[in-house]
Amino acid sequence: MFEHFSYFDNSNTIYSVATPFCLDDLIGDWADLQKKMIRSVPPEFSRDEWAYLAIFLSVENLLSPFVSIFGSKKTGDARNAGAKAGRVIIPRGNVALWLPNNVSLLGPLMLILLSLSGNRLDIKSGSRSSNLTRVFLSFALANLKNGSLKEYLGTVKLESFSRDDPKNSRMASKADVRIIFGSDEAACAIEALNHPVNSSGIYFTNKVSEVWIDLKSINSNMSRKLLKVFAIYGQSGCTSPKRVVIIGGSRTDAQLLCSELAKLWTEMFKDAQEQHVASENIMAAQWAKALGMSVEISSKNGAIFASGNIEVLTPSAKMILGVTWAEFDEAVKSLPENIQTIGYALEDNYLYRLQSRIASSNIKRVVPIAQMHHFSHIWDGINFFRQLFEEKSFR
Amino acid sequence: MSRLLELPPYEKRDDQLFLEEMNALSYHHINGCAYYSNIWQGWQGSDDIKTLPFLHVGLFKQLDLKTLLDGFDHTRSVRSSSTGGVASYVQLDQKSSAFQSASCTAILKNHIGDDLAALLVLDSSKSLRERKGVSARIAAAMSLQPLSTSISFLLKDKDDPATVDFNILKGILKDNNRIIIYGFSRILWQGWAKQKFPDDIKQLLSNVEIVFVHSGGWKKLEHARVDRDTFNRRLLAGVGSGSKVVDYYGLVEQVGIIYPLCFEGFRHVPVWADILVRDSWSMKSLTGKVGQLQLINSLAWGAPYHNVLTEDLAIIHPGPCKCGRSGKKFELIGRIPKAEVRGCSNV
Repeated sequence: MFEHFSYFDNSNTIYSVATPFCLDDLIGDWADLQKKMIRSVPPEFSRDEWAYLAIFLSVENLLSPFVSIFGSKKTGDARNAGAKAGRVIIPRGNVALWLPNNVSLLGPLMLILLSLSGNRLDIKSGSRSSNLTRVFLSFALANLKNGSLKEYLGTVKLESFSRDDPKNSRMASKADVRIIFGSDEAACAIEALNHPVNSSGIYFTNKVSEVWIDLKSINSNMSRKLLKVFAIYGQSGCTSPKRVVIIGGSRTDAQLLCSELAKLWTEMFKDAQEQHVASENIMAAQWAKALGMSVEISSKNGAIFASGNIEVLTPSAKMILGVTWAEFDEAVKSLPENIQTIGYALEDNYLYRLQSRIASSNIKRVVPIAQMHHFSHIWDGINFFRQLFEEKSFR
Repeated sequence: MSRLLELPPYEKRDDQLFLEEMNALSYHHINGCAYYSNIWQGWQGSDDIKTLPFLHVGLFKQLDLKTLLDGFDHTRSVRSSSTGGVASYVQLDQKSSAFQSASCTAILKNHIGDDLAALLVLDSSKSLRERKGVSARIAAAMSLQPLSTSISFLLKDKDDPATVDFNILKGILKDNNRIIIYGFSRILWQGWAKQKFPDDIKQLLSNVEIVFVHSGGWKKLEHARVDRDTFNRRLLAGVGSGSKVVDYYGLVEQVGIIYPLCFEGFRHVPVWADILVRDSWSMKSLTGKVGQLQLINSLAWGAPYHNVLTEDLAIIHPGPCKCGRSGKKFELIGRIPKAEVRGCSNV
């Protein structure tokens, strides 16, 4: 079953990672696909999404989960690696993945990461959405040469069906690991399905993110990075900022930033929004004003920037970004319960303070603004990649 | 409170009078509704209807919009059918309700005639007793009450259009040679057009003139591939001569103002209302081009739903109409199309 081993050394022990394929070959095949991706973009993907996927397929990035968990990679066979004792890591068997209903890169990204583990994959994609996972899988199968990856991807089961379909139960009953991206209700429903007693459930549910900046970091460069990140998903992405907090700032600072962001948006994004987004922005601007916020609207109703006290909740609409101000401790206190990411542009003094507060907060990741959408094998505080494997000790 | 309401609905209008009434109404809401006042801070009157302060229809799902001034008691709310998931609530007051009822009556009489008739509603009487306010379905049905001699509810189960009570229907058909039947478009299709009537009822139907009045939109019927011609043909099959179908457009956020389709295929604006069509990006007012429909009326005093930017697309057709009605006329195109949300979770 597992004829292939890769060896890793974390200086305490040697890890022998067993897979049904040669890991180097598999990663090499993904790297080959990356080259083919540069030549054409399937219409279902935006150029940014396709580019991000292509970059994700770098050898270094694909090896990084193994390196971060098991240590530096050793070449050669077991003898060369010194693997006469240590840990043997094997895939747990069957992984079931439930993807969200909205159109998302999560599917393709998870397909790539989970493929590295060698587990059998059973994926349910959203029944209501365009299926980027299927498009990517089809692209891969059509463009890969015969080899480890093509053979593996040929075994992946990918289906779309509703949350009421009995296939959900079938998936849960066979899975050693259940992974779901969705609402709290969806996660509870999957957890409630019959599942093997030794299986694990990993649930990525509704999260929000925000950006923290200080007064010294406010400049055109920072604003452009912020808008680039915000423009991709608006409030629809869990990693996308719903609001900006100016640490040590004031109402005037927030209003000035809103004005700056609205002007920059007009300059950076020439294409008009889809009509329903423009219409929703009209509503969002009025909603924010109704709540007492000051509002700046970019041209063509492209995006809304609304400043208000930290207690005022930014209206929920895709392309509205709230901007507020607070002292550091107040900002920590006002974090939402389901905070995921803080994207920052802060001087070191604030970063050290933030580092010391992470443990006692619900914050899952703190990254520079430009990296807010970067996906990895540690997500929402869970090293899910590690849970794809069983560990056997060998002394 | 609206002098225009005293006029026939589709006569030539004094536009200056309408603008005056709308300015007064807007000031009224600025003074009594904090949300509206916040949104339109700094507004100091309009010399053109295009610059009158409006609200986006989506706000009625998010905020409790009410104008709290003496003389306006909010006795009940009307709730939209929430096809999008979240319902809109519009707070009604007695004064405005009286104007709205008069408006509906005048408009409907203009389209279906003055003669009163028995009204059959394709809904259940239990819908009248729902606790969460009045549904849009029931509000629409009750707008026909002033044209009726009696009201009967035909469905045993409001959620199942097939549960028509044939006994009630038979009784009404025996006693009347002209009746009005109201239902939401989808329910009229499922509960009437596709209904298998017993032979004795078919016989009675063939001798009764029926005015079918429906509203609620074509979206669900489009999914079932039913177009207007098919819909009308099926309804009118087997009923008495002179029968007709009246399709009207209206929304909860414009209670009392309805837009029936004339025989030329247009919807006409009554003198106590107006419309604009806006470009969603520049907000410019459009004529002869498709844009976002904005509905304005001089009757809403209890909450600021007197000037509402909808998410429906329409086109204003300039010039007179062969149906003889004066004033603006428009063609309804449909809802703003929504693309799928791109994101990562929460769904």
